Amino acid sequence: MLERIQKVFREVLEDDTLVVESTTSQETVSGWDSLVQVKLIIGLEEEFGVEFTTEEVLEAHSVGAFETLLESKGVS
Amino acid sequence: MSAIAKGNRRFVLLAESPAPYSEAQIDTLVEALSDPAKLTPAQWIEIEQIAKKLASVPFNRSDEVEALHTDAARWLRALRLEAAGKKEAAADLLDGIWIGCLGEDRAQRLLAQARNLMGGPQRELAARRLAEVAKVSISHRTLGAVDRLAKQLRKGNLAFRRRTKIALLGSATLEFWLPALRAQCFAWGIDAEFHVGPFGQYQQEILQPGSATELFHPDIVVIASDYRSLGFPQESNDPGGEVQQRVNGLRSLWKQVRERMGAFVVQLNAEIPAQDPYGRLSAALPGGLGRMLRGFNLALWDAERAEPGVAVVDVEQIAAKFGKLAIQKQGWQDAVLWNTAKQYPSSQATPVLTQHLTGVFRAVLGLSAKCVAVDLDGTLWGGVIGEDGLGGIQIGGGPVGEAHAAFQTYLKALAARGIMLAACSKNNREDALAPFREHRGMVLKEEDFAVFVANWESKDQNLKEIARIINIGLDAIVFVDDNPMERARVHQNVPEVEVVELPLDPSGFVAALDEPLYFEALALTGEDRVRGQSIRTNQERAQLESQSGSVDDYLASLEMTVALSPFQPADMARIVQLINKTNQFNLTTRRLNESDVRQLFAGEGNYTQSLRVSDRFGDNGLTGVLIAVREGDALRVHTWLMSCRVMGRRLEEAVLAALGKFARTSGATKIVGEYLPTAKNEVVAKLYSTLGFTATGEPGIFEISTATTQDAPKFLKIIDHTNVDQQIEE
Repeated sequence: MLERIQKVFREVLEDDTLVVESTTSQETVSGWDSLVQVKLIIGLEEEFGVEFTTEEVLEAHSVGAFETLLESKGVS
Repeated sequence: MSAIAKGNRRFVLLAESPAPYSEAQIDTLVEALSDPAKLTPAQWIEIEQIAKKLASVPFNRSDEVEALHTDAARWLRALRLEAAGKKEAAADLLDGIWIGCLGEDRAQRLLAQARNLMGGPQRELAARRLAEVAKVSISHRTLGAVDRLAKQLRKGNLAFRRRTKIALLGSATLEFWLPALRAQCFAWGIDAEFHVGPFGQYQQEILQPGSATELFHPDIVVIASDYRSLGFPQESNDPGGEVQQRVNGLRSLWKQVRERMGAFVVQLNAEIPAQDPYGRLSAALPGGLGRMLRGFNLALWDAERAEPGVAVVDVEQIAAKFGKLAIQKQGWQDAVLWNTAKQYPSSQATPVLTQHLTGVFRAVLGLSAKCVAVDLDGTLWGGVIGEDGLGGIQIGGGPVGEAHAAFQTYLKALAARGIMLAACSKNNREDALAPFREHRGMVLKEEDFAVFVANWESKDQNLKEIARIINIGLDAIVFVDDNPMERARVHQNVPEVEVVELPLDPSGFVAALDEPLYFEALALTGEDRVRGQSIRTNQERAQLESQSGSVDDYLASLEMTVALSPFQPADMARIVQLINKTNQFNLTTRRLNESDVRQLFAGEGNYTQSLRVSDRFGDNGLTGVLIAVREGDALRVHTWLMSCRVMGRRLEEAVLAALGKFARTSGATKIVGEYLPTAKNEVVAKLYSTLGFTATGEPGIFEISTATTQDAPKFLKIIDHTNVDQQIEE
């Protein structure tokens, strides 16, 4: 799952060398602003075929949070 | 049918199994790859997944795959080459693999080749493939990929058809539109620079002198005032007043944009919300919201007609086309992302909206297509006329015949609005004409065509011939042919021509021609309506010419009447249209909007002239424009152009004679001419020298004393309105 999340991050942030881990968060990635946040949401929704709720969009600010949310939606 | 189903299953199973594969699985793979059946979109993706798995493990039976020549095997080999970094070899293998693929499927194949061409020596080809991707795809992900690759390509030199600066202002987060919009502008040859105004502040950005938008100096300003920001009440006692107040507000913004920024306005109209507490009453009640929004949209179009330099984009129609049903993440709007990020419309829908915006930009920039060249057999009717005969072709009756008739009806309406129709067929001419003359099921008639070419030459030769007869660039032609090989050949040999990817089923022809929005226009002029007729009579003129002794004898036999007049308000739309789309007989190719033209018209001592010409074959309408500005004791020709339909008739001498006369009476001593070369106006490179001007030494600048300008040729009957007071009423 982490590999697919990383793919989305690389596409959105236009950085082919970006490496993400569960601890990667909005503080540690430069350029992860509110616009990028929405692009990440859209990218992850499409990559994993899931939908995020309004609250989830507002509260997920780290890769770990995305992993937890994706797991709760049945992604393994 | 069973072959496809079986193949499908084999690829899925392999795509889902972990690598490395067993010997038995590789046997299955080789067998599946050797099946020549056409691949389904899902199979292309499954093979991609298989290739990825094979990339990470040793694969010692690759020579068995090398030996296969099916699309499936080529696709797998190319993806493995790409994974190994052998990009040029991958690109070679992928060339042409999209032939017969349509839509998103086609986009993915083209994107794969473009990706592999990047960074290699064939940058132009990579750019062409990417452009094609962005024309056929409406997936925001694919367009995002095009945008990223195009950005890399643009670091070097790339040829564009137009440069422009576009400001996006509105009441949603318009940054979300940029990837698709940039990719689509790139696809159509527009080198666009964008500025996005701050969220929700479109009024301030326009009204505030010195705003970031004003300092950006946009050529086009898009006002995306989302229906929510307009603040209509759910029900009103004064619906007319509510509408008027908002339209007036927008009109004053348009005026500011045009006058202070000199930019063209693209105004988005209001979507009618799909969820409405009043239900059907919303439109049925006199003061209901649904009815007010409909009234508002109509009032915007009325305002567009009254205001120069404005085009309204029909968001309501685009939303309906996309589908407003709120199946989450699939429909026009995404409520979650509206609430969290003011995204509008949804990411899936955005490319369709931006596609329409790009269509309008092309119209503003004079890039819309002017001609549709259609194949006959299999395209306008089912069957082959030369083999099946009049009784055997399918047109009019029966399901297939009805599909072709619907396509003909669409083409006939295109011709009526000024898009020239050309037949481009491999046939004996008499065979090709027979259905038009004798078959009762035909909607199109011979006289609907501006040009009719039926012979055994190659289609790319014939398209060049059509361009020559109509006197337009190849890039103004859209080619429609049911045969994918003919289409691929035209793509290859005349890449400027737009090629429509037709589905196998004729029921899909209308949508295939309609959806890329080749023909968007800002206005419909009288000239547009008679253009096809005019091209036909031109061909009769050409016949007369070949029978005449000298060129002048021929020109005299045309019995031409030339009417010259200062610009008139009623002609403004046509004048602006000509200024923005004329490429060949155009000395300076300065593109101007209506407010620019009015300013030049109003300048002290300036001269404007429109030219109309009629002859024994009919009226060509307004086909020439000249603007000269007074500079000291000289009149300087700022803009001079003539429609290609009336070139070669010595009309330029009549234009100059009238200009000379005006110059003398207004006290100017010389006329200064300027030639700015472009890729397309070589034909007038020597015009000033031919007319007796002398070169000044400064490149492209010529001059002539007003005492020495010549009279118009004797065979032209001149009606000169120049001495009438020049005036355009507001």
